Amino acid sequence: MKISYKRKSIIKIKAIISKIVLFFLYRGFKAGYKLDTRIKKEIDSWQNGFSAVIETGEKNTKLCITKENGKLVRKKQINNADIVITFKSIDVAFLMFTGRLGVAKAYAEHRFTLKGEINQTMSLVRVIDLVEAYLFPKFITKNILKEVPKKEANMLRTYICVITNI
Amino acid sequence: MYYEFQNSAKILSGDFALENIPHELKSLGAKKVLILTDKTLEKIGTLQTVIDSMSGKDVQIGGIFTDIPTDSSIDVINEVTKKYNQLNCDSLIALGGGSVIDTAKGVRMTLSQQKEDIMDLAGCELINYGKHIPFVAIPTTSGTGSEATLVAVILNKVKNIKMEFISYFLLPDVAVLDTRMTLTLPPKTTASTGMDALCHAIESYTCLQKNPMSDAYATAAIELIRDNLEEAVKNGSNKNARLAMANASLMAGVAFSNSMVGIIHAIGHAVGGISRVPHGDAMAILMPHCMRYNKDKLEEQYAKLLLYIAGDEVYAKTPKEKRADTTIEYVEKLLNKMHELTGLNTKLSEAGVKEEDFDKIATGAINDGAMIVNPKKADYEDVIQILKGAF
Repeated sequence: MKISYKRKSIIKIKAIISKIVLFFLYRGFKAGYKLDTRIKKEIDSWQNGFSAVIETGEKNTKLCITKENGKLVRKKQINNADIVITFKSIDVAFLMFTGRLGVAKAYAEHRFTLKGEINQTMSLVRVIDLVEAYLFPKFITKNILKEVPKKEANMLRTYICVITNI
Repeated sequence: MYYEFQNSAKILSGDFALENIPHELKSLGAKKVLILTDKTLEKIGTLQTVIDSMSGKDVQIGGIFTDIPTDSSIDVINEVTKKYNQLNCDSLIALGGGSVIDTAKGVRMTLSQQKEDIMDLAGCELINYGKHIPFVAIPTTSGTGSEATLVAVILNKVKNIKMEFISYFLLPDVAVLDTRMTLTLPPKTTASTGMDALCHAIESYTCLQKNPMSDAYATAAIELIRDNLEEAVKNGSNKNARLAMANASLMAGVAFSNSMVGIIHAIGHAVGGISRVPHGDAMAILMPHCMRYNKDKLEEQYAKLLLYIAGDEVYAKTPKEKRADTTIEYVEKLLNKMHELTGLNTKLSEAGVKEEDFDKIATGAINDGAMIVNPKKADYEDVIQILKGAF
């Protein structure tokens, strides 16, 4: 018996969508750094050379970021990153990337493994929560965040920054 | 809904439990065991009691390490790991409170993964099964529940923070509850550790990963604490009360191992790391304040807990809308009772916390892994307000 074609297709679609969301999540990090003082404060607290990987373990779906000269940079691959969040399945990663599962709940449900210091990861989690609050509409964020944070910039401005990568 | 639950340790609880340890070790394939403990337990004869129980020929004591400090640290773990290898031991016994058991967990993790430095293993569910190191935990306090948890809290002296290592493979093979281990526990420590167990049960009943299994362990633990903590404090030689508290502590440990703990522990870890307040004292002081902070999110759960913490008569007589507040009042009453009986601190200022350290404590608390599973978001300012309230 082999994995069914249907399942293979689902994995493929979920991986493609997850890659797109991870792309916008990275852009969201960069936009958030410019538009939100809380995100800026968190990222400024990371040391130069700090690196993090968020991956699903399927179809090379990952976001690798590092801080270089005070700025966040996306890399194709980072070996031995300070923090590596690996989802146990693409299905759960897909739930998170499509705004149906928050980071806190995913952590509580043991949906991912974490390599690195938990204390350091907390800052990354706070940034993800804030970026999600900008990227997703309120009817989604109120279900996945413990509290929807007040936005310091409107969504339109955020989306312009995210799309144009300004 | 989704949850995961594991409670794999074999539990030996009651009379002559210690004497069954050689049999358990033998059945796990062990021949030469390293015992980890601390100087106090050596001095008061607790270690000797355990050594005497290992009289058979099946398992040999390969070495005894007694230099474990109050807070288990990375350096100590790396040192014990070296000693274990030098002595050619093949198994571990941890005899002590949370710091000794957490140290042993760290040593076992390093050994099973064949690493020299535990920092290579920092993280959550990162390690695989690895080499099996038979591991028996004998708690000498009734509070941490560490003998039944997947967490090891280890002090990073360089960063002055308590780091959490999380893995199902940290669970001991055997947990031994024997009243001879806790009979000499001083009343104040009995009170402090008992409040820690209560805190584990309450937080596990209310955290994001609460589930039907953890709820069952948590509520049963609360009932045992309600019925036995005061007696264990007043009359330490009461074996029934001591055993009940040991069971309660383990059950609360099982509960929070599978549901995690939240804001009380996040702040408590920081208070312990920065101001060196004993863990149980910090939990006892912070508990009512953090519960009040969480109350708007946890009204229903706190209301339900009244049945277990106060009993059915009080629960039935209390109007539904007042049950959550009454639960918190009962926690406060218990804390005050422990203060009256043993002098247990009720304020952070009495415990040696300085107001000028609030900034460091709050920063440590929001970066603690326990904060993520607290159902209510808490930022730096929220923690400062809680600290002020508990000061």
